[in-house]
Amino acid sequence: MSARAHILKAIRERRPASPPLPRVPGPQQQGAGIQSRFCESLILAGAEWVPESAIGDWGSYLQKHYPDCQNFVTALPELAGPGLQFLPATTDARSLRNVDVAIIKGDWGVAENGAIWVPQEQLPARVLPFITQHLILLLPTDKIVETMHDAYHYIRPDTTPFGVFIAGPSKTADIEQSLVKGAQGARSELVVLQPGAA
Amino acid sequence: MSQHATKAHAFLANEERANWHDQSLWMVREKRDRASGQIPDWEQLRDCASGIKDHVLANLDNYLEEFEAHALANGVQVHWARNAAEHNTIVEGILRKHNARRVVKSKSMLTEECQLNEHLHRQGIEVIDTDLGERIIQLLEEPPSHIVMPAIHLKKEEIGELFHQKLGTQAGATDPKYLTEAARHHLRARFMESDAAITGVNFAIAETGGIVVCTNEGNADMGVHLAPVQIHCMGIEKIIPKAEHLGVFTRLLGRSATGQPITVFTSHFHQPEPGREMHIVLVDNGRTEQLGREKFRNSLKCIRCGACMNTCPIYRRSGGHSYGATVPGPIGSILTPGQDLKRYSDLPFASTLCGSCSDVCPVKINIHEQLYEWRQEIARQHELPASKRLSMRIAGWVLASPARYRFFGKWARRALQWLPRWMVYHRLNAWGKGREMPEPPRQSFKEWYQNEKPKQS
Repeated sequence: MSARAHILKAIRERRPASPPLPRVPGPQQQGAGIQSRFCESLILAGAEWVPESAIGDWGSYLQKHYPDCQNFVTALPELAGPGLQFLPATTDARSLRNVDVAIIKGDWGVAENGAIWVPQEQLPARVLPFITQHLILLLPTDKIVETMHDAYHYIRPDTTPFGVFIAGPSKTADIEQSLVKGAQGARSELVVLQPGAA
Repeated sequence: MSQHATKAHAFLANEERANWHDQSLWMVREKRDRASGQIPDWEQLRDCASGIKDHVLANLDNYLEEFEAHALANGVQVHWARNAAEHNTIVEGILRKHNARRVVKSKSMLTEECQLNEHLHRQGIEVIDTDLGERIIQLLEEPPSHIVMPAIHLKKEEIGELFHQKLGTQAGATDPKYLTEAARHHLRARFMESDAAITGVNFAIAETGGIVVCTNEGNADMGVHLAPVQIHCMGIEKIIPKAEHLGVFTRLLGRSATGQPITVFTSHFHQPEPGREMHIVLVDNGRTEQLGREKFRNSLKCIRCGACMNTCPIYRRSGGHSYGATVPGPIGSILTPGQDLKRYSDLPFASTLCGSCSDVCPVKINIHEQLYEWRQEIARQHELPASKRLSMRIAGWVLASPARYRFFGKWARRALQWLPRWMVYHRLNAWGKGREMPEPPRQSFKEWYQNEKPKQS
C-alpha cells in the first residue's frame, strides 16, 4: 500500500463524527476613520506613511529621503524618470541583489494590522519586496478594509500564483527580545497613500 | 528524579538567570494579553478557530484529497510520508534530483521533529537555518528551546561571543542591532548561493491547494524566491478547508504568539515560478495514531503559536531544553507521550495543572485536562517512577480506610513536630526539596468539630 493510501485509510478508521463547519464573520462596513486606524497600525508595525501629494517629484524625493542609496527601481512605469529606473518582469531573482529602494503597488490594506496585500501581478519578481533594502508601497485609500476577514472576502489568494501580506519592515527579536528592524528583508517600509477613485 | 525534574533543577541553579528567563517570557505573555484585549470578539474568534479545527480533524481524509487535487492542478508536486524516515528520504530525493548541495531552510518544527538536518548532513548536504534564532542555535549545535523564539534562553553576551567566533564580529560586541546586521550579511550570502529552499507550513488550504507561510524576518521568502527549487514540509493536520478561514487564523496566530496583530510577512504560495519546481511533503509521523485517541486527538488542533509556553509557570522556570522534546512546554507534554510513552512519561507531570495554557490557547485545546489524562494513562501502563508508585500505593491504602486515615493523621501531626529534620527532608520527600513542610495543625478538622459541636446546641 502506498504511503498515501496508508495515511488516508488510517484517518478513515479513526476520525470522529463531524461537527458542522463554523460560519466565519462576514465583511464589515468600512467605519469612519478607517484611514487613520490603518495609519496607526502602520506606525505600530514600524512602517511610515505619507500622502502621495507630499511626494512631488519622485527623483528628488528619493534623493532627499534615501541619501545613502543609489539603486532606485519601480514596477510602475508611470513613476520612472531620472534617478528612478523602471524594472520590467525578470526571472533572474539574484540580479536584484543590489536594489536599494523598490517602489511597488499594493492592492488592499487592512486597518487592524497595517498589512498590505501584494499579489504577484504587482511584482517584476517575487523576491523584490524582500531583497530590496527599503520598500515603498503605494496604496489607494479606498482599498482599506477593517479586518483580515474583510481582506479575505475581497482577495482570492489562488487567483495569483504568489501573494503576500506585508505589515512593516522585516523584524526580529531573537536576541534577548530586543526588536531590530531589517532582519533578512527590507529595513524600512514607507506607505504612500493615494487618493481613491471618487 | 525524572529527566525533566533533573534538568529543571540544573536550570534553577543559576537563580538570576532563571528569573531573567521567567520575566522574558512573561513579558511576551503580557504582550499577548494586550493584543488579544484589543479585539472585542476575541473569544468568539477562538471558538470559531477551535470549531474549524474540530471539523477538519473529522474530515481530514477528504480535505487532504481535496488539497492534493488542487495543488496538482496548480502544478505543484505532492508527496506523502508515513513517518520521519520516509519524509527525510523524499526530501533527500528531491535535492539529489536537483544536485543540491547547499540548502536554506526557514523555521519548521516538523523538520525538527523528523531530524531532517541531521539526515541531510549525513548525506553530505549542507542545511543552513535562516531564522535568526534558529541560526544562532544551529551555530551553537543546540536544539531550539522554544517553538517561536528558539534562542530565548541565550544572553546577548553568549550570542556576541558565538558570532565573534563563527561570523567574525568584534570581540565583546553584544548590541542586538549590530549582531543582527552581521547575521543579515552572513545569511544574504547563503541565500544567493543556495541550490534549494525548504520551509515549514502554517496553513494549507484544501479548496485552493495553496500553502501559507508566516515569518517576521522574511527569511522564508528570501529562501524560496532565490532558490531554483522549493520544498514545503507539513504535518497533515495543517489543513484548513477554505481561504476565508485564513481570516480567523491570521488574526489569532501573531497576537497569541508575540502580541503582534499579524506577522510581518504572510506569504501565499499557489504555483511555482515558470521553469521551477514546487514540492509539498505531507507527513503523518504519529498524527493518525493521535487522531485515534479520543481523549488526546484535539492536541492536533495546535497552530504552534507558543502561547502555552509563555504563560506556563513550569516552562518559564525550567527552560525549553528541560523537556528533551522538539515541542516543549504544555503542548509538547501532551503531544510527545503519544509518540513515545516510555521516553516522555515524565512530561505530563511537569505541570501544576493550573490551566493557564488552556486559557490562552487560540484553538481552545484543553491542555491541562489532557495532562491529567496522560498521567492516568501512564499509571495504567506502569510507567510511573518507583517513588511515585510507592507513595501513591501508600496514600491509597491510608485513604481507603477512615480508621487508618485518622490514625496516620494523628501520628503525622505529632511526628512532624519531633522528628529530626533528616527524617522528614530526604530523597523520598519531593515536596520538601525546594520548600518547607507546612506547620502541622494541633488537631484535625474532625477533632475541632467534635469540640465545637456542644457549644452550638
